[in-house]
Amino acid sequence: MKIISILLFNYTSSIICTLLLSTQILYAEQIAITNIAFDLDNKSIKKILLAKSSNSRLYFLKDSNKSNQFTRNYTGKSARSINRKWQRLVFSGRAKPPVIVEDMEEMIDKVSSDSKAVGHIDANTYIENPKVRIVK
Amino acid sequence: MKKNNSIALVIIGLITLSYNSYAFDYSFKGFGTLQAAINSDESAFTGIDDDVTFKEGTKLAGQLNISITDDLSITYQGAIKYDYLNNYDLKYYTDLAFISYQSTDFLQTRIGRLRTPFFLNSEFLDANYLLPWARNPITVYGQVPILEYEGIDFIFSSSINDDFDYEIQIAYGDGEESFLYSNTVTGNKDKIKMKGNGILFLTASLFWGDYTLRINHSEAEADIDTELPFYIPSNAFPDKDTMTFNSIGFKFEDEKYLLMAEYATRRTDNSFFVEPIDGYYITAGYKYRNFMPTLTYGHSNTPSSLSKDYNITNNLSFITASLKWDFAPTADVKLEYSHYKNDGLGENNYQINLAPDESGNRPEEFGIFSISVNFIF
Repeated sequence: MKIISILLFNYTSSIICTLLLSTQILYAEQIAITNIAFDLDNKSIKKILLAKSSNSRLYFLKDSNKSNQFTRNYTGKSARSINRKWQRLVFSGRAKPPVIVEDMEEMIDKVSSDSKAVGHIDANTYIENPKVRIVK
Repeated sequence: MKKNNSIALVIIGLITLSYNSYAFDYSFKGFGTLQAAINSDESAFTGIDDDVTFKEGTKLAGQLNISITDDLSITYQGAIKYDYLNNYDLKYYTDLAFISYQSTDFLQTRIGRLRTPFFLNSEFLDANYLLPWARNPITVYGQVPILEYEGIDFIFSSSINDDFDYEIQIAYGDGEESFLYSNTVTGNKDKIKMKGNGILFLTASLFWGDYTLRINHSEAEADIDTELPFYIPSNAFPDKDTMTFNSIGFKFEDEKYLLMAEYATRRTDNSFFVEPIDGYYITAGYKYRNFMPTLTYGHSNTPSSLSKDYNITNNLSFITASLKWDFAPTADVKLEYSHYKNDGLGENNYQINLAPDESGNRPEEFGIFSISVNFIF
């Protein structure tokens, strides 16, 4: 009985660890990046996401878990809620629509070629492109 | 028409230039609504009677944005809607066609065809997916017949401090819109084209967290561009008279709650058919998962001396219960019931499609049920 209990405990623990690890992988911290020419700080990112400043262009990763993590990190709001605010600006003709990109490679490529770009990447990503910087 | 042509020429010219000179990028977005509605009464109210109609509110729109440079862009928005002025035939409308220039981080200038920014939601009023209701509160949004104008606007946005941001919008231009005016004496529905010459819009918005406060003052020289039938007195509609609009709007929206209210007034000199009007609405909603039920109450009245002289009441009030279900990331279904109380001639305060039935009769109370599917892409 004791052996079964130990085995059951070990088995449960390993499942919990695996779940925690996979959760960590799925929800890796998202940080804001921008074009090197765009003078922004973290407070500006919040205002941009909340559609209080339309002079920029948002780039979201297609992975909704990551875009959600990004918007929640900086505003406490879901990506859907942020998108809705931006769509109001877009259909008023005041802003360019947010762009959805496939992966981080495309994200860095897009941000490097748009001087008003604001995007997000995994916090542990190494950026080689000199035209892209992490917003602090 | 000449204005439309000039806008088209400017756009084609810029596209040609940009094609030759720059690598520009573009995006195409759109929105649409499929709506069914029915009235509890046989007399039509906003085009809805006791037969189910799909033609009020149903639309499909596309919007093209072309960025010529980081600061210079062109926007065109066209929509297919049912035209209630012409037996509900399908008609193509150009709702936006303008050039935008972001001269500094704080100043955006747009020139061309723009949406009139009278009220809090005016500039995206057609994109029903972005609104909490299936049908907009008539006591405020029904006050203005002119939805677009040809002109210029300047949008200045900045911060007061870390918490407060503000925006000043100054706009100027000419607009026009046709509407049916129901003559309760003859039973005729007269098509009237109203022009707003030199409309000046002054708007200030203050943002604090999830709160928005917005005030607007607009004025124009109002005129009609229609030969009036003999039975309509010449002073029934504005004849180069000043028309003013004032509004104040408030909105709170976070992840759970929505509270939105607007109060608006319209004043017209020397016109007894386009009477003064005061109206408001208040909407409260609660978001639970993908659902958001809302309740809206609205009221309007006409504080005109004419009404008082003839002891005419002009009150219109409604209460609306609406349920919004986000069944997909960019699509929703809205179920809505509005109960109206029409005390006197309240309906004719609005210069939009408010034709009563041929007899001109309408019950004091009636209800409209609607269901709509709204989406953006």
